Amino acid sequence: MSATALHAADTSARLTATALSYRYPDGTQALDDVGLAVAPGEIVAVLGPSGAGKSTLMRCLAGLHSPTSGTVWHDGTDLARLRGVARRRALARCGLVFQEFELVGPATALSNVLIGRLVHQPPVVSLLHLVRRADREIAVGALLRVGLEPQLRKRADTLSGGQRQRVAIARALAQQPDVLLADEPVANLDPRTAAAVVDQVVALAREENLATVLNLHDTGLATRIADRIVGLRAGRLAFDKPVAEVDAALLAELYAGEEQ
Amino acid sequence: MSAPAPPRPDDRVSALSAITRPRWTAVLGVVAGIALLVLCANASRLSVATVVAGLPNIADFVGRMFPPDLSVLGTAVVLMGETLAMAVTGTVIGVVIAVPTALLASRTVFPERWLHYPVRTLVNVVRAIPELMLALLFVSAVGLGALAGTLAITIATAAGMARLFADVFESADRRAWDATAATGASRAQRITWVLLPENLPTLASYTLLVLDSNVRAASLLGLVGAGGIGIELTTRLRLFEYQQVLTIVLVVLVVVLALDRLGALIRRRLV
Repeated sequence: MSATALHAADTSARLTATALSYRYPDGTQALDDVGLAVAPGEIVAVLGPSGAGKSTLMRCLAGLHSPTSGTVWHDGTDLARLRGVARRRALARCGLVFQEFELVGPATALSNVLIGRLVHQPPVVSLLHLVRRADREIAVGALLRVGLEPQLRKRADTLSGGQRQRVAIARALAQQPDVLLADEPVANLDPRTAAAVVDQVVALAREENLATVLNLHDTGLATRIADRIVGLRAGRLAFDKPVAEVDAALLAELYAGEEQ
Repeated sequence: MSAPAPPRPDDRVSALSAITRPRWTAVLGVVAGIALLVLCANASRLSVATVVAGLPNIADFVGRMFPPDLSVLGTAVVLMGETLAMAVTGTVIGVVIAVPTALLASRTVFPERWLHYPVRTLVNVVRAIPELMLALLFVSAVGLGALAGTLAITIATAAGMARLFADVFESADRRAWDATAATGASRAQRITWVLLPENLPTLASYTLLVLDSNVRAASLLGLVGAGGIGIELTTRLRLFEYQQVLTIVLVVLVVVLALDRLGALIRRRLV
């Protein structure tokens, strides 16, 4: 599905950011009037020099940062207005994958993935690591889908980098999200593992029809897997184009002035 | 030929590798430190002459301990069992109290100031009371015996470990905690699924160290009548039964050493 096929992006989009600005408490303007719409099943790659605001955009889209101005709509819901259980349930609909995996090292792969189901558990019983059978099956299913059956009950800190990121992907899948956000998911992996992991993320996102946003620094990888490329520079939207319209000149301009 | 020759690289190397002269503030600090040490040594009546003059006395004292009188061995072993039981009970209950207290006292888990601030203050106040003083308090509250000592160890452990664990929680890696928050998990769920599993090896390792020090503390609490082997030790000392004293000291020594080895073994498997 390409972006040009989505005539009215705002109505068919699952995740929409309008006039998004974010200023850190220290005064740094990380995002300035950014607009973005992602449809179900669409893969959007965000590119830009370091410090362009890619991670801040991701945190705003996920609802972890409340924008200074502007709104993030997730299926018509504004996350910044939600509190308590409603907010936690909304957060769960957004699967997140991070650069450093962010797993619980001494816990098993399965235990890490079960974390993705915690929001649906009775609050007190789940503290004792008792999780309903149906939810355990969802977690195991997610691990099987990323090909980690042999590692199911191995400690996360004994796994390789690629396996750890797959555990993190399974954790996001176990949330049964409708949006998937990945912030530099493969920056810590060697190029071959990185390509394999990104391919898996993209395949899963398409199967699940997830609105997907990936922050990447590898432009080759981004143009290979994405439907649309969003260029971010100094907190502002530089371009937002279907991948076919993104050429080397456009990318060179985006990264102009950045040191090697 | 008139331009000055560029400095030879050798000159730069020798200039950069010259020994820098210490700053006068550093010199002053060292002098002040030495002066303070001398004052302390004076105040604590440290005198090499007295120690040397006393050496024969020490030798005589140790000499009178030999050979150990094994007639008290049975009593010593039974009392050491009581001492161990006090230490284990106090450590376990103390740690059970310490973990939730430490969670409440740690700024990263409960950023709410009205919560962590009073808990932290309470912990610090209790921690400032020496164990022997706690034992005295409990002896007057519940009477002579092992219960007073166990309570003293429990309270001291709870406060000491709460402080230590709170610091562990505050310096813990936040990444998995934050990632789990982003899945919508509640704070209580994040504590039992992320924070505790991540820090369990550290907590267990500290607990073993404290058990060790609690056995030594429990051996002394008898001095104030709070149970354990200490009461037997003081009685024998007052009666000048030095050979029996040696037997008691040896029993304590063997148990403490054995526990130390056992703790080291378990810790190695944990970390």
